[in-house]
Amino acid sequence: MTSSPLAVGRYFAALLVAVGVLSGCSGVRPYPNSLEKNAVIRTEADSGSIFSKVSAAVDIFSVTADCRTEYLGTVDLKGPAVEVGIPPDQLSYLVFVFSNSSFFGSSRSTISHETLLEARPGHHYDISVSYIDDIYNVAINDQDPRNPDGRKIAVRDMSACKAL
Amino acid sequence: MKETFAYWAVGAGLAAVMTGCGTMPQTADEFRKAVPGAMTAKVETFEVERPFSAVAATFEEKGPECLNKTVTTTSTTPGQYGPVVSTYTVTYKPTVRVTGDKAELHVQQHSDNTVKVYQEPEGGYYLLVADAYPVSENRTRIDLYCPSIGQKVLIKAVKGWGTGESVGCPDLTQ
Repeated sequence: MTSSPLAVGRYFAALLVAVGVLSGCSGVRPYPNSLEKNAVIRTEADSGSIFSKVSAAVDIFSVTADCRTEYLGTVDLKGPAVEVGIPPDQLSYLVFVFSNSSFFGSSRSTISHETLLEARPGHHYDISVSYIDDIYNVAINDQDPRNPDGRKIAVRDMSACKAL
Repeated sequence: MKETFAYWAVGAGLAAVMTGCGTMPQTADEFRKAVPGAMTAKVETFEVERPFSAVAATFEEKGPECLNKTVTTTSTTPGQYGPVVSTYTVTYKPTVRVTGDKAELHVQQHSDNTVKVYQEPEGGYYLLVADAYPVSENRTRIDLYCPSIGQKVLIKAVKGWGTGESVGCPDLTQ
C-alpha cells in the first residue's frame, strides 16, 4: 500500500486528537477520594488473550433528590485493592467500566455495569470487581459493624432511584 | 477482539439461517421452531444439579442486570486517506418469564448498523432463548436455542447462570 504525504499527515492528526482525548480532554477526571475510606474495591482483570488487554475503572456520581446525577470523578482500578471514600448517608451511582483494547490499537470497546449505592455511616463496603475471559462481575458486600459477615447488596439501576 | 464484528452480523438475527422460508422469527416460539432446521443455530439440552426455583431466580436476576444493554465498539483501520473509524452500536433486550414449571429467558438484538432485509420484531431479532424445566426436586433441564457461530460469551454466561457455577455478565462487545 502506498501512502501520500497528505494521508500520512491526516493519520498523525487523528492520532494527535486521540492522544488529546485520552490525556485529559475526554471529561474524565480523577475522583478526589478525600473522604474517609469506607470501601475497598478488589479488582481482577484478565482479557484471556495475549493480543488484548482489559482495564477497569469506576465512575462515581452523586445522586440528587430528584434523581439527577452529578459526576464526581473516576477511580482507576489498577491495583489489586483500592480504598475509596464514598459519600456517606446519600445516594451514589457507581458505574464500573471495563475497557478492552487490542495491543495493535485497531479496536476498542467498553462495557459498563451500573448500580446505586447508599453508603451508610459506619458501614464498610467490600466491592469485588472481576473481568475474566470476557465475563465480568461486580459484587458489593455491606459490612455492618453489627453484622461482620455482611450482606450482599443487589444491583439497582437508576430506574430504582425514585422508589428510594 | 477475539470475535469480530462479522459475528454481530451473524448474531443480528441469524439472518442467513432462518431465511430459507423468507421470514424471520417474530416471536420466541417461532424462533424455537426455526432453530433446529437452521444452518448456523443449534439446540443444546443439558441438565443441572440445581432446583428449578434457583435457576429461575438466576434468570430473573441476571437477565435484566446483564443483558439490558446498549454496547458500542469502535475499530480503526488504516485507509488510503487516513484512518477509517467504524462504530457499531447494538442494543440487547432480555425478557424473562417464569411460571410454575417453566422459566424462559429470551435475548433480542437490535443493531443500527445493519440493513434490515427482513422484518425485525419489536425489540430486535431473536438471538437466544433458554427454557428451564424442573426434572426433580434438585434437578433442572435447560433447552438452549442459540447461534452455533459466534456469541460464545453470551452462551457461556447463560450456561453459567443455569449451572450456578458462574453468575457473571457477558461482555457483549466480544
